[in-house]
Amino acid sequence: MNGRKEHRLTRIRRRTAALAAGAVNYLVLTAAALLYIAPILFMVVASFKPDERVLPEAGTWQAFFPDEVTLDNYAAVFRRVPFGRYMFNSLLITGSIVGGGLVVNSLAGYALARLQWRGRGAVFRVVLALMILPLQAIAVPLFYQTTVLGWRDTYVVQIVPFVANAFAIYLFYTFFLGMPKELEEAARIDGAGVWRTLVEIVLPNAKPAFAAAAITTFLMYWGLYLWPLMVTTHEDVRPLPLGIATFRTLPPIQWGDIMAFAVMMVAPVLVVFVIFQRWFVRGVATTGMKG
Amino acid sequence: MATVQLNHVEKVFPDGTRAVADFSLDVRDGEFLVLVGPSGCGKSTILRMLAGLEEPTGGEIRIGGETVNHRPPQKRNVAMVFQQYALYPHKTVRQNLAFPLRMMKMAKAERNKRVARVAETLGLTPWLDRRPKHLSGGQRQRVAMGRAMVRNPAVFLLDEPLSNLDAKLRVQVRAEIAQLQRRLRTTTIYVTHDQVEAMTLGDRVAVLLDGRLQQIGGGRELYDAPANVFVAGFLGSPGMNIFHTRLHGGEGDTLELEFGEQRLAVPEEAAARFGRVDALLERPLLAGLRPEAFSPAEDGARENGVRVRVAASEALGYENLVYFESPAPVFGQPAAGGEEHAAARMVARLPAAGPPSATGDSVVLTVDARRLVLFDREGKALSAKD
Ligand SMILES: Nc1ncnc2c1ncn2[C@@H]1O[C@H](COP(=O)(O)OP(=O)(O)OP(=O)(O)O)[C@@H](O)[C@H]1O
Ligand SMILES: [Mg+2]
Repeated sequence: MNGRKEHRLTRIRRRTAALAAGAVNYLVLTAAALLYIAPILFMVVASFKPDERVLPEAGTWQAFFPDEVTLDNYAAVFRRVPFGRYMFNSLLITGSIVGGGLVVNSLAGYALARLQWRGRGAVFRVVLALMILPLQAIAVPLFYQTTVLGWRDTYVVQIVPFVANAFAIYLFYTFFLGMPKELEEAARIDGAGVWRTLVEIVLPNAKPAFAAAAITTFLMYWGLYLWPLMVTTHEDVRPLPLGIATFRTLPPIQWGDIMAFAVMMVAPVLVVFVIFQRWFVRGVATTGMKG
Repeated sequence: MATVQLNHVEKVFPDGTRAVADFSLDVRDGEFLVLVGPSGCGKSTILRMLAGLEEPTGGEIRIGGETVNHRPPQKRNVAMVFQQYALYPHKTVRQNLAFPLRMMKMAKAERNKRVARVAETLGLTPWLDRRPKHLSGGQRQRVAMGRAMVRNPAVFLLDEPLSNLDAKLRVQVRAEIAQLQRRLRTTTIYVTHDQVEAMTLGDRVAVLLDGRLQQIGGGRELYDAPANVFVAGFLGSPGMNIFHTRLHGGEGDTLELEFGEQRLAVPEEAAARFGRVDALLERPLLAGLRPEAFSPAEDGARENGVRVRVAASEALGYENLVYFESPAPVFGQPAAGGEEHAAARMVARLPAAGPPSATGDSVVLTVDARRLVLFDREGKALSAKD
């Protein structure tokens, strides 16, 4: 009798402990999430507030809950700098890098993972080496090369050096290595050549790899600052990161305007994420197999 | 329709693994040939070389009389069913079936007709618009078969196509495949490590070990007259009992075979199948007896009986498998009288009707000596022709 009661008590105690542990867990996670979201929220809110209230209210709760909302800052950005131009340039440049990169890097990754050719091992080692080489290390010789080619102040000079991307190649390489080889073998036996197999069988099953490559290269180059600073002088071809750098020091310094600029600069990152994340679903390539 | 020939084919992988060695085989037009052997013996490698997925490192492969050693898979007109089916996951059943036809650039109307017909034959019509992941194992297997059949290839290659099905379904699909092949009469090479499939499906069965062909022939022939102890032990479930022995002269036209301390009477004509009798006498031999060569001795009738001690028995309902401590030294097993668990065993297949034997029982079994097979000490079957 007594023992049973004791037993129930321990059970209740245990359940309470589990609940408490869960609560602590959520508390920590929520705190962490707030920590990450707070600056972004601050930025968004500030972009809708009258300029003169941004800094004075930065330390108060009105930094997150404004009592006055306006679109003036956004209008000001467009009035004071060629924001549309910056945006267009950034979209064109990063879009080309991402788009061209998906084609080039997926093919390179496939060739490394599946095809037999002379020098494959050497090329693979070069790709690995390039992955750990930062842009800063090659910026000067690259600058020299592109200047010799007469590419300064163009889009080309901001796109071409980054289309082939060792990291993306490696990403595709590992993905294709992990794909069941039988699918391609079945396609070959069913009468498809190398290209048909690639287009009909391999690529449709590689969506997660494309999504991952698209997101990572987009993030890598959307914020690129050093390189465009080196190779461009005209606002006409300059991307957003240079634009915001100029804008930040353009008198009068108005924090509401700067925040509006920043919000518009970050928005495409969100869009890209939303578009590609549903492809991130795992295991697509294996579902035709046993189970 | 085509013949398939392999002449002294060899495959050594870049890492040095010799998967197939000096392998020669002639498959007749329309034949159903089963390739059987233990895991890792090179069965898949042979199929893959036939399909063009691997190049042989030696010898010659001919399909329909033409040498195809260097011909890519898409130009061979063979179809293959993979163990894991390899259905295209992003395509529906209909698109999977149509794929080989599209690759042939077949006109759409004709294509649809063929797909519909194959789907009908295999009972896949209700699932044509489903993706493979929404099909059961049996249905996937059928789609894989359908995709192979749909373009009427010269040769079917099947690599353990039933190994992912449960036992019941396996029996059913096995029968269907046999029936299908008989109707289509397409040359078929079927790989399995299941000797029941091998015995029931093939016109001929080729037994493989370590990349080498051990024996080829009809299932019955392999079962009754195995070329060596490996084939004898591999075919049949359980396999043949093989033991060390000697043959002695007896009275009249009866010889005596050592069975440990006991003796089995062997009619002279049963021994004569394996060579001149006087050449067989008094030399170390290996002898094989199928589990069904034993039967329960009638009470009193002790003719050609051996007394053995039961080690374990399995009642299967339709028969009893009785494992007994071998009185004779068993080939490839530790000698009897060693440690308890390592004691060499033999197995007898007895009618279920008989009284069940318990472990430790001493029973008398009658031996049908006409089913005896004799091998030399190396394990090669002896033959009257030598
Ligand atoms: N690409 C390869 N590189 C090196 N060795 C290989 C390769 N493919 C197969 N092998 C080896 O060749 C031998 C034969 O392999 P194979 O796949 O043909 O066997 P199998 O008879 O089909 O076996 P299982 O019944 O298990 O499918 C094995 O020892 C295997 O490890
Ligand atoms: Mg295999």
